[in-house]
Amino acid sequence: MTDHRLQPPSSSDENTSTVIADTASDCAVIEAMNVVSIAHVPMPAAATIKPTQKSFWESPKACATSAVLLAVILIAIFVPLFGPDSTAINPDLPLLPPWPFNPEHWFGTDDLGRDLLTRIAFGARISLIIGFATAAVSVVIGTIYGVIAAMSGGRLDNMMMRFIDILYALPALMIVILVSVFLGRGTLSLVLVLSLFSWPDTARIIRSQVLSLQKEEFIEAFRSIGGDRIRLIWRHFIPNLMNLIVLTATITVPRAILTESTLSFIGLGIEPPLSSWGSLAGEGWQMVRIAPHTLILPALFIVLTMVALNLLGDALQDFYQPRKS
Amino acid sequence: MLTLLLRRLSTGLVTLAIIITLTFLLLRLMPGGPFDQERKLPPSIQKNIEARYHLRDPLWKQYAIYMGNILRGDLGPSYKYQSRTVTDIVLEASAVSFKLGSLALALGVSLGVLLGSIAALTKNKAVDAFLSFLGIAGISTPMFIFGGLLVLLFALQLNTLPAATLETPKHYILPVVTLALTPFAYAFLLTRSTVKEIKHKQFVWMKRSAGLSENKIAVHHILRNSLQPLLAVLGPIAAAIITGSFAVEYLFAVPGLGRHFVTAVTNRDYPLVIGVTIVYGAALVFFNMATDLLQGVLDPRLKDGGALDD
Repeated sequence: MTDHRLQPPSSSDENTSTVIADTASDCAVIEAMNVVSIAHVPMPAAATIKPTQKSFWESPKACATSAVLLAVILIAIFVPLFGPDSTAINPDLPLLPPWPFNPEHWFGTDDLGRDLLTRIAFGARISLIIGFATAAVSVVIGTIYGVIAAMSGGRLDNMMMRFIDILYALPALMIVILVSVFLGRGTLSLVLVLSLFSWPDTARIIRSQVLSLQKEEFIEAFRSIGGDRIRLIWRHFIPNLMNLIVLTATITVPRAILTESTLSFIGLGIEPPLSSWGSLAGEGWQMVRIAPHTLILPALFIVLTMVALNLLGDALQDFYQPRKS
Repeated sequence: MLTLLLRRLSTGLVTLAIIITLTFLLLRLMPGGPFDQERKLPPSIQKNIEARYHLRDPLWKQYAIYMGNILRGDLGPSYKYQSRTVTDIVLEASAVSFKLGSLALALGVSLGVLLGSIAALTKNKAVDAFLSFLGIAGISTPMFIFGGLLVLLFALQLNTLPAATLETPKHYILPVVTLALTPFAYAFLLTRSTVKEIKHKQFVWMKRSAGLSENKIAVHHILRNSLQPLLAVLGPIAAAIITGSFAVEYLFAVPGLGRHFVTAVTNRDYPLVIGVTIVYGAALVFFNMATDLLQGVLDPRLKDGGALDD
């Protein structure tokens, strides 16, 4: 089947399988040596994905993006603790622009005179929590689903994949909006609703990886000595899938943040009193004529975080599956 | 070819039926009816209105009536705009979204493929790095932010372009450019990575050693083979762009499908919500089918309906 999902080209299943084909031959040699001591099989390092760099942190891309993300996370944690109170309404200072610099309000204020930096930091909490939680939920569901589908094979596998095909064919954003009207629009329900359509990506990738893992000799060897399924999953599949799991999680986070911010921007996402970057940008859009900073600053945070997350995904991909060129 | 067509057609119809059923159930499960207003209507009138729209019938009967009407092309009356049928509204809105979306799709995809191949084929590392950054920035910037900043710059600061509605051709510029962002970014990134992969394939070296000019190789051999994976992801992107984006239509006050969907959800205008969802679902099915078939035409290995597994 062709891949119908919007995804960055680099994350498709095909990429993974080509790498596996390349490493399969050296893998066989290593495995042949290990078969003797199969009871405590050392992790076959080359079985899936072979890093070329010694450390992930050798790549400047990885360091730069992680620094940006860390900065955003620190702002989200500490600014609400030490900054000005974001609920303090100050009718004397509405729509104060950040230029010229004001030591009281670094980013200026909104229409009610509330400190914009603190509001953005609170918004960061919601946006990041929704992004990471959605990734976590969809990775857990997707991995379980993918492993079950690949291991059961046959008709069950076929049915499980048909179900995913149907999910892909649904108008996701519309159903997300409908379900969120139904479930309410708090943080938890948004996470659940966004996960609804993001886990199938993980499930597909994990399934295809497990399918090719099952053809590996060390798995066959483990089976032939009568190793049970649970042990197989925990000792061999999960450790070998870890890289891929981290990678798909990294790709899922920015997508969830994107969808959430779009929904909140048009007023169908997170509900007041909570606000995310999207809803702050939405408020800013209403006042863009008189106070452009109320749109620009939340927008800046969204774009910066999204670029950093996407580049981080890229760096991880380079690290795990170096592209041939 | 025919088997492929028939198979795609039947899965498409099944998918549409699932979409309609799902939205129908979701909407009926939702709290609050379309005629619950702040000002209470007298119970008898309320009862009459609800009877008029079959809201008092059992669920299965409502569903049967609804499905029957859809098969006849009748999407029912809008609860909010009493003088117009949903079919009218949806058709009018799709025309608007379609015009905007097809322009944006054409712009985004052609620019993406062009710049993507340039980035992959250039020997200048700085050009590639710059273009790649544009691509990453493109998938990282939500359309509402891109559009909002464009409005801020061109409409409010420079005063050169109109910001809202679609009265003159000039009004199309900002929304079309905004909508083109996502297709551009995907087309760019995909073209770049596939061209990079293909340009080192053996058959390309063959052509080169046979003395073909670099330009001829690029267009006839590399690019043609690179379009394959692009087509695969283009289906859902095309459907999403052509049926209109919620955020962009909201931003530019365009009366398209996306905008109608959002207002219909807040108004609990059930038939309109289902109507828009059906149009969107149909577009999704259609574009997926079209790209599948096109792939079959471009790649003879797919013709007998089998999937490409290598």
